[in-house]
Amino acid sequence: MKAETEISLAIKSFGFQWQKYMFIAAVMSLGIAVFLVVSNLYINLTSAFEQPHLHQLYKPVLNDWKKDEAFDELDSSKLPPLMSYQNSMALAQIEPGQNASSFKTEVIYYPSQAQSLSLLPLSTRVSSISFFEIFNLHFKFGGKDELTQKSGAWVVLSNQTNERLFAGANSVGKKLNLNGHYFEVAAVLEEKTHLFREHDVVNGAFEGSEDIYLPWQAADVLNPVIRGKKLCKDGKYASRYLDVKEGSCLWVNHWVKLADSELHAYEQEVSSYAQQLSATGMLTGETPYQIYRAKDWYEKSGVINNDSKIFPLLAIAFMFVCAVNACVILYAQAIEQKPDAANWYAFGLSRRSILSVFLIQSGICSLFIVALTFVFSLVGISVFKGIFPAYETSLYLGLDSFFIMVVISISFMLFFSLFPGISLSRVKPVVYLKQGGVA
Amino acid sequence: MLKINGLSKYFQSGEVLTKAIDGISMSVGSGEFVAITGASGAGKSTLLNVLGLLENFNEGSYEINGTEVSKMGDRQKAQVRNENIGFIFQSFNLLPYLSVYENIELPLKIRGINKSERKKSVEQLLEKFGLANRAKHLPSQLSGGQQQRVSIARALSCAPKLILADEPTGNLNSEMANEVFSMFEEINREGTTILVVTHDEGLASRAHKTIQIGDGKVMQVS
Ligand SMILES: Nc1ncnc2c1ncn2[C@@H]1O[C@H](COP(=O)(O)OP(=O)(O)O)[C@@H](O)[C@H]1O
Ligand SMILES: [Mg+2]
Repeated sequence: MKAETEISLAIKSFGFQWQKYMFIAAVMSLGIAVFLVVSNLYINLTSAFEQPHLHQLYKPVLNDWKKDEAFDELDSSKLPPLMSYQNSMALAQIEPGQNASSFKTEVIYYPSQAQSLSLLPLSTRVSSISFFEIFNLHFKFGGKDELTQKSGAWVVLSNQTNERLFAGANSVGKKLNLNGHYFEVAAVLEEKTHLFREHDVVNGAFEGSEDIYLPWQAADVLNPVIRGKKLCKDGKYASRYLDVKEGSCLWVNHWVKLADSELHAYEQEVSSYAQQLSATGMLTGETPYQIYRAKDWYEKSGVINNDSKIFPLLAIAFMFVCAVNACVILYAQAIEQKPDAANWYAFGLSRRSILSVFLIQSGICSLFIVALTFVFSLVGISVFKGIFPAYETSLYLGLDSFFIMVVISISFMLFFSLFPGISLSRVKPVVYLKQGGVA
Repeated sequence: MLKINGLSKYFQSGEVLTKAIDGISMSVGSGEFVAITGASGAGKSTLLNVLGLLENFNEGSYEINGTEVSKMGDRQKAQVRNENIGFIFQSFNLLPYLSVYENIELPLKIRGINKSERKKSVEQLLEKFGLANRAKHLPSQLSGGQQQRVSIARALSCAPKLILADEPTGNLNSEMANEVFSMFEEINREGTTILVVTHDEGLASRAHKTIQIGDGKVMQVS
């Protein structure tokens, strides 16, 4: 029995039953495409941990709040560790390396008369200059020199904000009216080129990035609205920065960049600072302080939260369901093909060749699965990018995805064809030849 | 060419055991034209299926061209069917998605004959059976008589030594049935052994030998 004959028979009979095979291909490729897109996303997300600059980043946390103080209106049993402005500034003094403190707020942009814009609320991060270095953010226009020159009166725009306010032109030196005060643009950030975003660490997963960045001095001037924890300090309602600046419940993000050799000394400094605070009754709990590595903080703050860990599993489950469906259709397909097989058998095809023909048909189908998976994945990815523009450049179908696609398609199809194929090859020819009437 | 001895074939369905063939012994020589007759349910089809290696038997022995069938494996049987036996069925059993040409070509393909030789053989057969202008048609576009001619051409395509036909005229009118038997006579004259099951006594009388079967046994040979 020549392979050529089996192939040509398979092609003919595939052509006859192409609709059913296309259905199988559609179902199967949907499953694989979902799996590919989701796993791609997941790998993208997790590989963000491996960026070299993250290995030197640490986050000291002081658990300096008291249970009897009113804090968050929502879930008082799971309160986040807190770093007050005071503590952050104090720690900044003892740090041997670079440090970055920041908090998230909102200011209102007052457009100039030339601009046809209305009042624009801007999501704002108040931060130290070293924030940009520590989180490895690159500038499109301007840079560190401009930031230091303008000392306490700079503003850094995200690329998107620069597009919105200045149509993408170099806006360094331009003045912005924020909450009625003027700040000079010192720099514009480059478009993010990878999935890791500094705000994933400071804000948690999938929160939007900031529109602008301002220096700490600006917070004193603008006294912006505090987000989140409104009830603070003896149950008093605090909504603005200055209300809580000196208190203990301004949640400041504090990061420090340390070489391995500096870590030990730093830990001791933080420990002794925490002991001082504990002595005054400021800190409670058995572990008044902790130092997290960036990677651990990622885990803790849920950048890769349990939900996103479930997605790859769900995708696998979905792919499995699709495979089961495809398998059922394949089996029905084999049953329907029995009269043909009986005919082939009568004219000299061995049972083994019947199985081969069926497997070749599935092989052809798997080529369509590859093609459709490719299409579905591309569609899926572009839809996802439409929803989350941050993934614009980081999410794509690489050669490895393509390879996985081919391997999964072919192996799935061959595996799931084996059982129906064997059942087809065991056809009782007499039963189907007697029924006859194929034509 | 065929030699069977005490051949039996049973079907077990539930509690009931049917002896479709009950110890038949006979031999068919090369070049014979044999008609098999008998009432419905007598075991004619079963006998033909066993002779055609489409079905196994339970007892007895069966030799085809000197080889004992029960000792053959599936592949060897497939090869014997392909090279030595041509089947013609009552309901034609043409593959619906293959053209007339491709249906006739199929056994040659299975045999592994190369394309140009296949073409030569198929075209000869198309010519011989008056199907030359139907080569590209699908079976569904042909009349019953034409379909049966295609199936005869297919049975002959590998130039088998033996043709097995199970009521080949059952779905045809008497004129077409006559035509089919004339073809058989011609094929037989060229040296092919033919075993044909038929109800029609008139047609059966055109064979060299008639074997009447009843209840799975040979009733009469004439
Ligand atoms: N696959 C089968 N299962 C059970 N009984 C069968 C099967 N095929 C044939 N038989 C029985 O064997 C007997 C002979 O059948 P068959 O050879 O088809 O007769 P004929 O062709 O002479 O009409 C019948 O009684 C029939 O019911
Ligand atoms: Mg019958």
